[in-house]
Amino acid sequence: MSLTWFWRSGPLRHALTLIAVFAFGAFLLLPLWTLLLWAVATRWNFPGIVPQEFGLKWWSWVFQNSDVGKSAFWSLTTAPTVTLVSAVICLPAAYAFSRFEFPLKRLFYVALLASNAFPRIGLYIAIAAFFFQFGLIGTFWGVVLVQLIGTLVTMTWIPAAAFGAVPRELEEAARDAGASPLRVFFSVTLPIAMPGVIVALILTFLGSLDESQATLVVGAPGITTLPVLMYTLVDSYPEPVGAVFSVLLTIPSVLLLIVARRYLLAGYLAAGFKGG
Amino acid sequence: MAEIVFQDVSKLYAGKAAVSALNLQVESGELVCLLGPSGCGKTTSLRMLAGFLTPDAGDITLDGRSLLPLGPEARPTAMVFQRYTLWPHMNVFHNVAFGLKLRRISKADVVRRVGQALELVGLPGMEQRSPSQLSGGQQQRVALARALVLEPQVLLLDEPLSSLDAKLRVSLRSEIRAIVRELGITTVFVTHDQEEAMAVADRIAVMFGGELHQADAPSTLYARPATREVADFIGTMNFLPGVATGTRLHAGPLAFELAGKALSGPLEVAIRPEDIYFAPGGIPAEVTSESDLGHYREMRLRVAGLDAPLMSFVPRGEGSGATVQVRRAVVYAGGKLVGEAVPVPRLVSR
Amino acid sequence: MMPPTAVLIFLVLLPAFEALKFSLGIVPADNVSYTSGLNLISTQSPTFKVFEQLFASPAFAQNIRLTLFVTFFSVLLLTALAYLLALYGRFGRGVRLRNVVRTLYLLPMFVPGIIAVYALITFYGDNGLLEALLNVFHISYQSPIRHEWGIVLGQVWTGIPFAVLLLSSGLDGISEEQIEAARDAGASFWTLLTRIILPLNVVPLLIVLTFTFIGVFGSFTVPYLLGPAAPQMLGVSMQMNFGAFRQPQVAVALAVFSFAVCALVGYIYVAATTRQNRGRI
Repeated sequence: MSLTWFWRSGPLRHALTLIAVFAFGAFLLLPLWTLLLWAVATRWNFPGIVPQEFGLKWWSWVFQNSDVGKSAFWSLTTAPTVTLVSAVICLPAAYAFSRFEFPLKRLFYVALLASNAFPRIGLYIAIAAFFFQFGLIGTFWGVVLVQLIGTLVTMTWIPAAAFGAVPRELEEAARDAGASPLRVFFSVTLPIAMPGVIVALILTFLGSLDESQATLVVGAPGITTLPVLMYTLVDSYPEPVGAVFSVLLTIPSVLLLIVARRYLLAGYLAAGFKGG
Repeated sequence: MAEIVFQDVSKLYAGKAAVSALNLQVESGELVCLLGPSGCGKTTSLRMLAGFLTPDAGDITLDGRSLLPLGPEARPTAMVFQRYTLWPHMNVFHNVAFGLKLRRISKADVVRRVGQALELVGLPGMEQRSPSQLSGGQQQRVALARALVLEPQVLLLDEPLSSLDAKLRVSLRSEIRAIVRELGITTVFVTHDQEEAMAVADRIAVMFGGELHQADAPSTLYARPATREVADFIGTMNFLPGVATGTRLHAGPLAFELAGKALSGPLEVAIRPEDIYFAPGGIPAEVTSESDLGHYREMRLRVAGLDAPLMSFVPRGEGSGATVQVRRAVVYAGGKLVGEAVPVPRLVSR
Repeated sequence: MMPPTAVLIFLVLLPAFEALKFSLGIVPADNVSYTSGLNLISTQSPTFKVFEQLFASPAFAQNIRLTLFVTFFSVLLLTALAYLLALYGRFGRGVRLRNVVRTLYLLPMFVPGIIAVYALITFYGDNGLLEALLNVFHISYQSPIRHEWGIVLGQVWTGIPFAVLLLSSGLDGISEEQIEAARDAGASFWTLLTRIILPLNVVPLLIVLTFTFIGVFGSFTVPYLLGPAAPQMLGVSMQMNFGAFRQPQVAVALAVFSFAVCALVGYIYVAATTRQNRGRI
């Protein structure tokens, strides 16, 4: 029995692949499963492989906790604000990237990419120190501004790819029929590029909702969002609390990404990296 | 000796038959074209021969031995694809030498054989070029060299000229034919262009909807298409409904004598445009439109007594007239060829 | 066009420049955050003293060793795993299994980073579910959580979607005909992989290597929660110095240092891809 026979044997190879896929699935899913179990457990001691007692008491604890309420408030106000501000800033630039050739275009592209390429925490620390001078530490707008940085790439690249994919001929036909450039943008370009723009909006929103590092550095102590609260929860509270929290924080992600999945084309992301 | 036989080969896709009970023999050294509209199963058949697809039924043999247990790597076939064939990160030399290097041939021999293959396809000395520097025609020549350098027993070509422009297609196809002739390699060539098939093949296998309708030499295919679909696909054809009584066949004002057969019932009469010619004493016809194609004129005729217009090809230099006659026709019953028909000498029109 | 650049300049370049100056010893008088720091080195003209002190400290040596260790293995394991997944997603036989894999590897994208880390803690940690499961079979288990391998685990788990997506899109760019032509000429799977697939997929690979390196090298959340208290990865050390240790100058010096390392890596990527593109055209 040589190695090549082993490799060529159909059923054996299929069995091995099945095992490999199963192992990979376990690697990914079992930690999440553990968290789910914790979220509905009231007592789970080692070495039990399932909780000894189930219950939802920690859910009411979490919902009644004032820290959680405050953090939820901040999360739900910063995320939409960041998304909106980012959209206003970046969409026109995205359109420009997709349509016009201007000097230093390549430079701007690279600069945008480069800003994303540096260690985030270092950047946030430098920004935090800078913000201190303007009294932005621990403020709503401080957090919004610092989160904005992380959104620039998503909100420029993906819509740029979407705009770029709109056939020029459709816009030209509209111009030919008498529409002004602005009219063309809102009547033709934007509607067709909408899926890509929606994906960018969703990813930006989720990015802000899930953001922890920048908010930790700049927002503390006044502004805490849900993910930042998680840092304390992990250490100071029993596991079910963190688990409940995790489930709560994951729900919007899952929902929105299911919606976006229909629009989510890896091609958009990768096209941006290749240089547009 | 490299004789290919498809025995009752079938292939299903999502419950539908892409290829249905194909029986075809390719003689050693023959160039057979698989011809048909897209979706007819010709590419599927070729890929089954190459080993990229497995038949669901039937067998494909080379000199009597089944090819099915072998993957494409092991079969003595070499394929030229339609496009995206060359590896962009290798220059011409490495593209052509790739298969040779896998076979542990000495460096000197590899260089020699690559040089020979490139000379054969008309690209001597191009070893150092990269694919992006080559034109479409040159790329396909390199792909051909790459296939031939392996000295395969069977050469497979999957619409190799379809992505090239018209003039190049014409010149390259005769080059391919000459090369294959000189080397004596059994060749299967897939195309949807019937003119290309007619120009290149020893025999053409015409397929529709997964079924082989006819496999014959081009002239036979042209003169006696076995089914109505083949008649329609090859060249241009006029179709008229006809009624037969005994050996006499009438299609409107046209009357024919069926060679040696007695039929009844509804039939279709098929007439080639070049077999309709202007001559006195024929059926009154009026030219409704005309296209000058250079070496002949394509004329649409309204013929008295016929509903549908007829197409006629009039050679350059010849004129039109007031009446037309027909040289010959072929007759179909239920879509199948039943025989040839010759026109009955015209009586004076009433 | 201007707005994102304006954002970039005000939010990134200016603070970065201020931080750079600070790391070179120039303490801005008007910045309380900086001036209130402990152990400040303050000079009139730029000096490397801050860095000298930093590099000389034993803690730094240990931290950088940990950081490089974790980064190296994270990049290696993540790239290898992601490539396998991308290859299987493109060439695997068995449509259903392939679709399962394609859905699985996108999963971490749905999970916010900090939650993924917590999930890993509850499963792989001491007295976690994995240990309980292995215990059933009387297999002893040493948790990697709170050790270097815990960080590697977290980086690989969270890094899969990005890496696989990028490598997959690169593989998609290899036409089926190019693969078939190689098979037709007699190439085995290994030859296909090494002579055709890998060479044609170099740019996405470089992107994955570069961005993963940079991401892991300067990461905070994953090492903070999954790694040991000491030594620390650079990102954690930065934050600790800035916050708890009240040594913003050290923190900023660390930031500048990590920027420099990542810039070098980034430069290698740009140089490599430009050479690639030049070679192609």
